[in-house]
Amino acid sequence: MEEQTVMGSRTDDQELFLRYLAGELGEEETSRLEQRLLFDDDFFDRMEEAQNDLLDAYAAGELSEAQRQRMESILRSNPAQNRRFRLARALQGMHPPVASQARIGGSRAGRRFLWRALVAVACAAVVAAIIFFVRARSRPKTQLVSNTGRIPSVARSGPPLSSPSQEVARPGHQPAFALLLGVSVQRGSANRAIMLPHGLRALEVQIILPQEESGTQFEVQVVFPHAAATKMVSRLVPEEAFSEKLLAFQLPATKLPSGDYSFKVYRGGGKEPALVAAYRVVIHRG
Amino acid sequence: MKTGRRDLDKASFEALLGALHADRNEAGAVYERLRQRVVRFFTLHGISFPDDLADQAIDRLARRLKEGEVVRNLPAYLAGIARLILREERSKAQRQEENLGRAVPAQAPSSQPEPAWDTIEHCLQLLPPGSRDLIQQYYSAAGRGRSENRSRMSKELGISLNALRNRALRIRRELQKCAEGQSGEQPPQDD
Repeated sequence: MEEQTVMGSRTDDQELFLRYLAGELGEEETSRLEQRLLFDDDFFDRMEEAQNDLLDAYAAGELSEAQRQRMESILRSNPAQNRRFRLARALQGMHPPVASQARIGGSRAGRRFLWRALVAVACAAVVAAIIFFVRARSRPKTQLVSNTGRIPSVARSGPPLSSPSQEVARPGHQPAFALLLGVSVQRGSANRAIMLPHGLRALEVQIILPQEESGTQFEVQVVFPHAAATKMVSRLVPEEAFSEKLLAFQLPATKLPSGDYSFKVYRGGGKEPALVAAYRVVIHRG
Repeated sequence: MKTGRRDLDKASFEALLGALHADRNEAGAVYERLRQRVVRFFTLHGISFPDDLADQAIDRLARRLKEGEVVRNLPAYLAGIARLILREERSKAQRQEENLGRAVPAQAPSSQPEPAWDTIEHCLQLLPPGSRDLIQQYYSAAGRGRSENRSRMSKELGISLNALRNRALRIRRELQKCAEGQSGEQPPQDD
């Protein structure tokens, strides 16, 4: 049964938005639609949902042949829609949270399936642990940390250097790694260092401030391994990312030797800045 | 009241406020709402810096008003400006892509590389647990099972299907924003 919205059916909305994106609406109809997008909140929500539904249906291979072709044409010519599509495709692989899996497994057949799945997972875990143990003994003890950029609100302006998907597809050419440092958490250790891959240009350090911290401007002192050098990063303004306050700055990866780093965060502004928190990370350059 | 922007002169801003409402305080509130709506419009179209473009659109409107242009239907006029800016922005993006030698992908979008699952996973972890569970469950079924799954969710949560959709929509907006930030939309700056 087709789901209904307040104003019309979901498929009507999808078709309308598809025509709009594909440039198939006339000048006057486009103008009317855009006015409603700007000034009619309900209509805006419906169209946004239609957009998501279209992308989800395309990602799941559920569009008709004609719609699929139009959608592909839109995605080819519109990088912004393409980015949205990539999220839609990622969401297709989503697994329900544990609690809802338990609900799904409520019937006797479901419970039997769940038990079989759990046994299979346990067996796989044992095999994986054995493989990991064997491989860990035969390679240096390093740990890869992250291959991606930054938490959203930390983003700064400027044109992109290259498309994210291309970066992901080319190992060994990562432009930047994000290193998230939490309060009272040491990242890495002497024998399990955070490994920076070869070819990395910049390391973005994202420091989570203590919850109660209310300062508006900070300085971070980076102490290099063996206190061989220090670098002061000034005038850092905390940015909100979800419910955390973050300080973010970049360091050129080529100038980061392997070893034990510490980051001391001071509240700026006063004559004698107050230490807010200290963080530590052990880095290994690939 | 300040315009908050250097590139919009006082006379233009005054002309805009005058066109929005006779009462100056009310005009300020209308201005803020209008700006948010234009930001949202550009966000829907996936523009990277929607705030900047919204300011640009409102600046153009304000300048026209200052120049004495008679605008009978302000929403229609602003929608026209927003559309024009959207087209300009798309052409600019297309040119930048071409200059970087990676214009339109030759292959079908569905055959392009997957986004890093780590990115989505990381963004999911940043969500409050309730939101994370909701979005995971919301997208955990496909095809015919999808409607059934969402109906069951709405009953379990004791909310209407529309309210459930709105919640999922809000969480998805956050995820989209996070995923775009995570995937390196901005270039790193070497010093």
